[in-house]
Amino acid sequence: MASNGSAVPAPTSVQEVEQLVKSLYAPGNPATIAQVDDQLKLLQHSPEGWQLADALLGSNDVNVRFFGALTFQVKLNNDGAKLDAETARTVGMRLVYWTVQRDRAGEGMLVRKKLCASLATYFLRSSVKWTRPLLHLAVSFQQGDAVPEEQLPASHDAIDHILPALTDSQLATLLWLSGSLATEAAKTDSTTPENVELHTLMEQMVETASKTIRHSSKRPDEAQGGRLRAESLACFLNWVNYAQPMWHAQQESLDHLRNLVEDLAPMLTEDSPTNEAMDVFRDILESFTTFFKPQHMQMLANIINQFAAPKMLQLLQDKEPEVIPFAQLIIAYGIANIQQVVEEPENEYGSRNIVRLLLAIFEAPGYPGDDDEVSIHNIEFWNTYIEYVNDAMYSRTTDQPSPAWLEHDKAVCMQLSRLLQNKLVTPPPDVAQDWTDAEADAFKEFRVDASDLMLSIYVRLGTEMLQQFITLALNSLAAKDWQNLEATLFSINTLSDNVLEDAAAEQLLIQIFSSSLFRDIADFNQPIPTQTRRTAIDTLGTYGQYIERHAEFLPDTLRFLFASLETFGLFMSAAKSIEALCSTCRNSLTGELDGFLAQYNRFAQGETSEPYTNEKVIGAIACIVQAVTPENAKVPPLAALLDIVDGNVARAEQLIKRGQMEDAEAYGVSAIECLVRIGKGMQVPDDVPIDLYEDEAPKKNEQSFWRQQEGQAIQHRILGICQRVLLLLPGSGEVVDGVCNVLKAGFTETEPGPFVFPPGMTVSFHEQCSIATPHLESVLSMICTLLVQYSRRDQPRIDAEVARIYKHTVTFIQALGEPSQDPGIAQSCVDVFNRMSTRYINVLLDTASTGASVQPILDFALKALDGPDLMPKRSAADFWARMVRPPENATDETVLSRADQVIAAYGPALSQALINQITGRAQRSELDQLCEPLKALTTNRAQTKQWLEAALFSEALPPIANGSVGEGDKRRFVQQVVGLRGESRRTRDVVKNFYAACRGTVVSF
Amino acid sequence: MSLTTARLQEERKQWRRDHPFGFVARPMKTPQGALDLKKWDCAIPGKDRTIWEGGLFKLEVLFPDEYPTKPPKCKFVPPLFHPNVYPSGTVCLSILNEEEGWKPAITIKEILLGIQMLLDEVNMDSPAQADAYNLFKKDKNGYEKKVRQIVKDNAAP
Repeated sequence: MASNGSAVPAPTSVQEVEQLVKSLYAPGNPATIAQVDDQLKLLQHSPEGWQLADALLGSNDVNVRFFGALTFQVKLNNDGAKLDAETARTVGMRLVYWTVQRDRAGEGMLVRKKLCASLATYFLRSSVKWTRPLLHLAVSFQQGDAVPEEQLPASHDAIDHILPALTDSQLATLLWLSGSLATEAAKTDSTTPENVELHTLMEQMVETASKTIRHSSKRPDEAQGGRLRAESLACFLNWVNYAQPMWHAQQESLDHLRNLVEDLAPMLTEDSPTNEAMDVFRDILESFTTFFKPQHMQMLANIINQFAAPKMLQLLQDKEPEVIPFAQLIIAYGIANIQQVVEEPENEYGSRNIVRLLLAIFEAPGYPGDDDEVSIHNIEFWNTYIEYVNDAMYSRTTDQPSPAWLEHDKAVCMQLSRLLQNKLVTPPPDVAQDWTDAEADAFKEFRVDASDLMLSIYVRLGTEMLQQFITLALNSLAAKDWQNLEATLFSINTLSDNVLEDAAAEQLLIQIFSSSLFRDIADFNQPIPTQTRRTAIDTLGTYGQYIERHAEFLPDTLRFLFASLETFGLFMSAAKSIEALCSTCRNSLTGELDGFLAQYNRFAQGETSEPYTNEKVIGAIACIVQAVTPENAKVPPLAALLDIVDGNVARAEQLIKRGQMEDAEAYGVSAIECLVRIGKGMQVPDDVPIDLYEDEAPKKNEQSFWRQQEGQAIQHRILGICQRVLLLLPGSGEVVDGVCNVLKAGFTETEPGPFVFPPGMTVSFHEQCSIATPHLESVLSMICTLLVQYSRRDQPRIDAEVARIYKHTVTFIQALGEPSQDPGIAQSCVDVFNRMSTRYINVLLDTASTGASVQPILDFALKALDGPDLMPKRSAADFWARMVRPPENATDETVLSRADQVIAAYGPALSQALINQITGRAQRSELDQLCEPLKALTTNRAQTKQWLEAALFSEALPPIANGSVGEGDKRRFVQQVVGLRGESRRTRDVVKNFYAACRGTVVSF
Repeated sequence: MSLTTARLQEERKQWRRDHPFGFVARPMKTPQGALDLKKWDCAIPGKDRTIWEGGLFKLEVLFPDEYPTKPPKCKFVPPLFHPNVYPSGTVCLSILNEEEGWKPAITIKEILLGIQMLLDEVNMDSPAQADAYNLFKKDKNGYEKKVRQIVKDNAAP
């Protein structure tokens, strides 16, 4: 035996091996144990493993015997199939011998179970088929020794005579073997020819297996406390699990197992092993519903009614966790039997009782996630129920008569929705404060799952369900039952999406909104839980569209929201709802502007005021300002908002003087963010109706108020604030981001407005920047948006401004030199040029001048294309694809000829860069983008073939990783790519294949 | 019943039976009120002890006719500021890519957990949007501030 060079010497006798095994199980140094383990593994894999396993099974030490059985299994797994027939039979006989012998010696479970596992492995792996394992072991047990297979009785009922003679422990062993055979065979692929025989043996064996299970289940074994019967259940489940995927056509085999149901189901009613029985039946109900025949379902219904139901109801009342297996069995039964449960409500045990029991779970005391552990499981049944109902309802054609069960079902659903709502009630504070995070999370989770179910119930019940909740909410309000009110509002909120789509349902809401709800709840002197107020705020959020159509409810609701701004725990959601309502209901609120500004100022002084809510509320007020007409009337409230912003800037200035830079930045950034919010609020909403019959002709832009002195003053004030903050905080990227957002706020507007700046002003900001400006990418990305906006046909050309952008962006790339100097800026610059390539191609190609400034751009884009950085490469690929294609709609001769000159000059270098990338420099994920300029070349430029070939054979080409890619491969690649003439998918495939060949991930191209 | 529908029904069943805390996944409704199994509304919570904690991000999952042979498309609505989310909102993740890591055995639960993981474990090798990618690379502090703002805007209930 070869030594593996470990510190533990190889053993030379069985005794030494025994010592090693014992030391493996004794406490000791982990390093030594690992070495021992290595040494033993070597032994297990050695040719002498068989004899060793056999010898070890004779040891006095249980661990050594276990190791012996394990060694048999390891050997069988590795070498079982290679054994000659005689050795194989000997191995089988030895295993049977040891199983019989160890049983007689009173061996414990550990070794006996391992022997069964080894026998199952023998069944699967041995080179000779073991045709009757169960009978073989049973007869051997009876004889007290391993009986040769050829001496086994041939009669088909042989097992019947043997089973009564076996001891309990022999029967248990037989069940283990039987169960192991089923489990192991289930893992074996049934489609390969070599396994077909194995599965045929299983079909032949099921009769013996069933007889063994039946006999064991009936044997009185009080002494063992139901052990043997529990084993028979476990074995049964293993066989059913085996049969499910395997026996679609073999009904006869399956029936052997089915016939056991009548023998095993009574265990559900006995004291032991009830839990095992419930688990097994639940498992089969869940995973293999069709296993049970109607008479079995009937039988289970009777058992549930007479036995499980009273137990479950009692345990529910006592809030005992032992209720779970009972509830789960009934839930599984209900789901498996769903058609009958829904469609035959008159069936007392099979339907009516099941529904009653599963409603009782929601009716029982306790909070889900805390002392109610079953409601969360029950949701599963009711989801199945309601989906069945909804499917049946919606798949019916209208001329079919309604099924008789609908009426009954409706009553069930009404009761269900009421019970479910009741389960959502939050606990009183003294209970809630003792909850752990896990319990609080579980309760929340239940609410989410219950909401999901409620939505499905609403599909069935519609307005009646909503009315039920509304009535409950109003009753709770009258009774000042705040917890219950909260749960009903939560339920009403859950339904909002559906309710708002349904005019009939929406009409019901008036009862809530015209009630005293929002007045009562706005009274902060009342002891109302914060949670209830928060859910009421959510109601305003989810039903914003409704309030929008019913402006009469706005004052109450907004007063409540503004009051909530001053309460911790509420201000965040209140601010969001204020923003949403003011945005959607702006036209109805213009009269409230002064009041809101006053309320805002009060809130701004309070301790709950912080930047986030501040910005939201300012933005909300700006929405109302937007709705004020005429334009000049917007000035005073807008100026008031800008005063607030100015206040923040002044505060930032003071803080800087005191050296409190961090706080100063927070105020400065918030000032700009407030401007952004005002700018967004001032945007004209998308849904403003266009008046086709307006008498007055639309004012020319130049005559607009915002182009006159007073309007311009506001614009200058806004930009002035931006400049002040930029000067105060020159290093802040957030300020730069904010200023960009201020400038962008007016981009999409079609009419002049306070935030609709002339493009020249935006360009001036760009010109202020250098590559040292923080977040320069944001500025460039804003410039891109500006270019896209002014590339639209309905916008005037802004060539002069674009030329300024062009000139200044060129200074950026010149300052960078290399794209990798700052890939973010590099990419953004290339993107700016990309945005010029359509309407402003004349600027890009510098047609007004010599064209000298184009060269640095082209050089830069080439470096980006062949560089290491992902993002500049992407933009550069886009750039080159645009450059290679002939300019769209261009008629200008200078443009056309200069575009040609560019490609004539850069074609070879571009081809070289592309080839460098494709032959291995790129990442695989970049290839699709690199194909774009390549496709543009092959489609548009006749010289492409020469350029590509020159590049592939050039000395500039980096070495190709796969040395076997030769001249022929390269030529073939060019041939194929050029031949495809830009066909997208196939070009990509060819490029990917060539790339893979060059990288050596495939053998050849 | 088609394979796609059968699989999606099973996915729905499994999800209801067992789903991770704070996640939402539910088929959308058709205009008639029935469920459309090929379009799901989902929501992914930010992971605890990350900058995404406290947020809940809405996601649409669209299953193609060839599902589960082909992966579903996952799209944040509105688009999310994240280096691996395209400007359209579509998530760039290897297990959602037919040519990379997609396997028909991948469940909705695994997909959503994978996306949750992606939120905090940015993959810099496959950027999908420049804004978040550049900020993440150049100004980690600014990136984290921005994410916290987004979390506030999408606070979990």
